[in-house]
Amino acid sequence: MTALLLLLLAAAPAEPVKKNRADAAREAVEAMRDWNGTTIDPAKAAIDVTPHNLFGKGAHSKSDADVCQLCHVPSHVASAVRPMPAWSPRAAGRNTALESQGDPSGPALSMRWAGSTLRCLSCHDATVSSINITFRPASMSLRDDPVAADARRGTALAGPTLMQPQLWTNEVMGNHPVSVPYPLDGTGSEYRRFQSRGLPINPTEWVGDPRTRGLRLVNDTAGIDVLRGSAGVECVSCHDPHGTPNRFFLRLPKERSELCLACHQK
Amino acid sequence: MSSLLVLLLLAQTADVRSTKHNLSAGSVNSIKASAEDQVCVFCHIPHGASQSRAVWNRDLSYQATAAYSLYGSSTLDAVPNRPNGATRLCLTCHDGALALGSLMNLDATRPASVAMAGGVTTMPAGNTRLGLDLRNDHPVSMVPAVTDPEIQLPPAGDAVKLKLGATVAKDSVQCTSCHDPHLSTSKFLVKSNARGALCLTCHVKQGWIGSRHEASNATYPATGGQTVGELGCLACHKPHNGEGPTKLLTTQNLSGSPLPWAEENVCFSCHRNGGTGVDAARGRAAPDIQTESTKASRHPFALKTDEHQPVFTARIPEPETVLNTQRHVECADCHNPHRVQALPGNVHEGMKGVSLSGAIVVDDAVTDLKQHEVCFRCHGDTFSTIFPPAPTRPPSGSNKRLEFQPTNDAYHPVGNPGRNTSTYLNNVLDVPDGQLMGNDWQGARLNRFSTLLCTDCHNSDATAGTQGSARNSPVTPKGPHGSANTRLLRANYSTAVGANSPPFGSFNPNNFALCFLCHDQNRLRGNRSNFTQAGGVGAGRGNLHQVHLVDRTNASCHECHYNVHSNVAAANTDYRNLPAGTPTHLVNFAPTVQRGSGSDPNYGDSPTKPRWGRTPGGDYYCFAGCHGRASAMDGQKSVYRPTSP
Repeated sequence: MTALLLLLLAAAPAEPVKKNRADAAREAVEAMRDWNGTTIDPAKAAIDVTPHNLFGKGAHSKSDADVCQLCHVPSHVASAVRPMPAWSPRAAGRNTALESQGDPSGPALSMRWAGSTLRCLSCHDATVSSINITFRPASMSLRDDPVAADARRGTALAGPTLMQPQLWTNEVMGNHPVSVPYPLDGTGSEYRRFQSRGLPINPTEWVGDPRTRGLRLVNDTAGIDVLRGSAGVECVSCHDPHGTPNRFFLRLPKERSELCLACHQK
Repeated sequence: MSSLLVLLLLAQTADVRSTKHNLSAGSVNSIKASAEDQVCVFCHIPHGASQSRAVWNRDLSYQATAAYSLYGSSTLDAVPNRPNGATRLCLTCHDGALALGSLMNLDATRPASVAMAGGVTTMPAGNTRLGLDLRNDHPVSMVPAVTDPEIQLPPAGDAVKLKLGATVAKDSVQCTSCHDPHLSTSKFLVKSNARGALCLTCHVKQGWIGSRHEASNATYPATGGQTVGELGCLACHKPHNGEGPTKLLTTQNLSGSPLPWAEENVCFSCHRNGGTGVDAARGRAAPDIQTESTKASRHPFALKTDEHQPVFTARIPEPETVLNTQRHVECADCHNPHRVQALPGNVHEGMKGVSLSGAIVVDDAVTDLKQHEVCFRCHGDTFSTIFPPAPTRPPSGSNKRLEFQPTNDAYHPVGNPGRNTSTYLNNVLDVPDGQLMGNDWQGARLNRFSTLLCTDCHNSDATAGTQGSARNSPVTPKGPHGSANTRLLRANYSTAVGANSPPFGSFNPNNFALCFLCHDQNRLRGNRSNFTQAGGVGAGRGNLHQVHLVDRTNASCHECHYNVHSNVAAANTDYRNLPAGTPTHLVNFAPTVQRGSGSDPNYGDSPTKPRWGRTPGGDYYCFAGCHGRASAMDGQKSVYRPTSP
């Protein structure tokens, strides 16, 4: 009987857990020990072992720049020179992702893609060199390309992590949509001025709160809890750029499609 | 404990993982990967996907040049396009072109190939492999033509939906209109198709509800009680990979291997011996038409395949308004399977036909189509163009529509009561012992004002045991599908003629069993005939039917009543002194009957054909050389005068 109970409990969905970033990081470390046969040294369970450390695995810093500065602007920089996210103007005859339109009559996607997704695309839209770091001390050198130039702009990240939106009848195709509403608790949302499609929401098609599975939702308004009616999905919903036990910075394993099924009830 | 059960149920919630679309190695399906354990990845990938809305993880580019053959039909108003929308996605597996494990992206490897268990590469042959030939699949990637009265759009909120097509409008029928590839329902259907409910969301079939097929409780032997009515459209139609090349028809009734493709075999899959179980409400199984169709004389259903065009649609103009110029006959040339009623209802419900006046007529709520109007589709004005000459027919052919015109001097009473209202024919009201016997097709006693159906003579030989109309026969099946007798006759009718001698050595009523189903031979040969020589002129031999059939010549009915439909085309008969409109009693001579020798003693001329008419004094007479013999009749002996009834 006990065995049966354990079996039943094991088959039951996980209990909802609300996570803050610290909790998530802690859990990520724990999960590494538990991960299916994959052993990762917890001491290196940090961004510096990930591909996001452009200095190279294990290298924490180069001269006067550290790994954080590849993405984040130090707070001591005067606001007058504090840079905006690091995308550059149009390069040689091609649209940047942010000028593409998701809807022929709609606004440029820069109006739609929001928040953290913009920060991700500052590199991953491949219209900007991976080394075109806006705030970069002159002495900073990078592993992949010691010359801070735009020569490789647009090709620097060609490869599996290239997320360049492709224009196909003016629609961005080939990537999971981001900056889109999520029907939290089965409730249609308005997010970035876009409404959930397929209203009324069929609650059987969506996990009520993917956060209980370890994914992340984003609110339209910074600083306020994610609320039903205004929840959205960004890159960081599935990816944690600071590293996870899973490949591709995924918050959940893709094995057995656990990640997909944390939102989609199909 | 109950909460645990709830948890257990939740854990086992049927989702895409419980379907055949779960190709992961952990599934129980026969078609699955050997090691890859992701589920969604066989169709979707969040990055590096094909250029589709569905982040599709399979290459779509080959479809731009793939040699798809699209569905076509003479009744289709909509235009199926080269696959577009979601259909393209489905076809990346189901057209069999790509290996099931061929993916756009897997773990950042592009392209990727996943090994499938059992050495499976592309979709194995079977119902799910549609191939590039989509002609035997329900059309997709098309905007429905609501101008077609038999098509309606799914109502708002229905599970069946129009989907994105060539434009950004949700205006098209796609695979996903009927199938949701994530559902754990039977065949991934978005809603149950019991009794055709899914099909009928879009297809308007007037008269289907309550038709014999819709109401049938006959079961297929192998489906555990599922009835024809419950199967609905699927009893005859197969929306994918049916046996028929174009019409989405199937020759399989689930009890075994499909019959070879032929239109009639769609029907014969049930309408054969043991094709269905017994419909309790009817007390019998589907009538065995297949066996009928193998009899010596039959409508030649097997003559042609794929010549027939639908003849019962509401589409205007109808593809086969009267008949295809190509000679053929299929079940659907006489019956509308969506509306057919069982006898004694209208088995031609929902058909179109040709009236006696030559107009195209339709079965409607006010007027049932008459049986002969169906027959006239082929056996009327178009007879000579589609029926090849045969030695048993006059060279000119035989236009049954003209033969049954009520203005003719004589015709068997199809469509209208006959011209001969002599009380010798009689009926129970006039004379209790009238010559006619049995009941007509409506159940009333046959009488001189009765009408006949074509099928009262042309019917299965199994109906020969019933007097009067074959409609009153208790046997099943009835109808002119096939008969052991020539000319699809329900009983034997000898047309033998003698060469210089009578055709028969002695009288045998079985030679004329067909006639004697209605014309009581005892009374025809007794006192109920006005073909009587009553003395006064000639030898007074009495009833001349008796003389011809029995006493003297052992003639056949056929020799003097050569064409029993009508005498409108009596090519071998010289009618003399018959005022216009005089009933001619269906007297018209067979080609073997010779002209009389010498000159007609009544008129002194020498007719070139055997003559039947009236003397100047008003008596009837013949002037003919019968049975190949010249001078059989000398003219005077052949004069007769009917007795009073």
